[in-house]
Amino acid sequence: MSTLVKAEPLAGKVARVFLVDDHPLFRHGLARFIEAEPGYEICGEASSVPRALEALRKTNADVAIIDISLPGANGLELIKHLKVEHPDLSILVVSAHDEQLYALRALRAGASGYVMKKEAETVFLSALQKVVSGGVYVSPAFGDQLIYKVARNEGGNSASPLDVLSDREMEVLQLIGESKPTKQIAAELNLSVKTVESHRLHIKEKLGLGTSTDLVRFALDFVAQQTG
Amino acid sequence: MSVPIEPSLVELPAFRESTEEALRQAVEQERLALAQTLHDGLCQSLSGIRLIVALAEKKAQRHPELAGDLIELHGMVRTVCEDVHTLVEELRKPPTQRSGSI
Repeated sequence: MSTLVKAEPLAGKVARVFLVDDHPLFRHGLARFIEAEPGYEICGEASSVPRALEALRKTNADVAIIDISLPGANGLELIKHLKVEHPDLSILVVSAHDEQLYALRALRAGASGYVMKKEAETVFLSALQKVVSGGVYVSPAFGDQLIYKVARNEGGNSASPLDVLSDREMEVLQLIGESKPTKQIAAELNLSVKTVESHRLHIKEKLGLGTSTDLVRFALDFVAQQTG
Repeated sequence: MSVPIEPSLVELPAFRESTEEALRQAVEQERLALAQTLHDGLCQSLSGIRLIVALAEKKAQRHPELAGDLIELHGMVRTVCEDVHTLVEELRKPPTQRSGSI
């Protein structure tokens, strides 16, 4: 387990956990798995960003476990909203996306941990324990990379050219790579077609891609390289 | 992509080439769509099932008659999860990097 901040264990308190994931089977499995552990109780679940925001206002949760891919708006936006509304809420991201692409973005948005769904079950519990205790959890391999980069004065920035993209542009790039047309991307992200076109233009400029075909090819390769 | 329905003999090679390219692109899009469906649906569901089986295995430690079967089942679910992840990765690879298995 990678520790970036010293964690203090909770003194005999039951941690109230709220789950946000749009996959019912995964959410159910995770809820059952966590509830069976002493020291935790599930205080609520939601399958979308609006439902999560609404429910969390009525629920005194200690920690929220959030998926990055959610209908309507993505998990990174939800994290930013939650950190404004509930500054004391700890947030652990459990995602199918590769940590190399999203872990640092999630931490910057305000999460305290990032775990990939394909990890072993014991890793979920270790990460949850760490985050609930006030620590930070990323995989040992990713933590080593961060420490190495900080030591080399790279400030935790990865060498990925995608770092120049905003979180929203990353979402648009992901959806282009999933072969979705602009209209569908706009609908999924609750944006106008014009805004999506503007994001496409900015992505092309930032990544130095000459044409729309270059952009689509880049996006397809980007999605193809993901291992989550 | 729109193509002339009745190309002349002179246009035939170009017609065939553009048709083959359109077909290749359609196949690639289908592969990516299939990979996405597997990733967003089956992979997530299997991860949920894996958590429940892991929980059952933990509970069965006090019931030796069940423990062996559940350990085996847990291992099988893990293997299926890994197989599906491998399949998704293979489907997403560009043609030049494929192993040829699918």
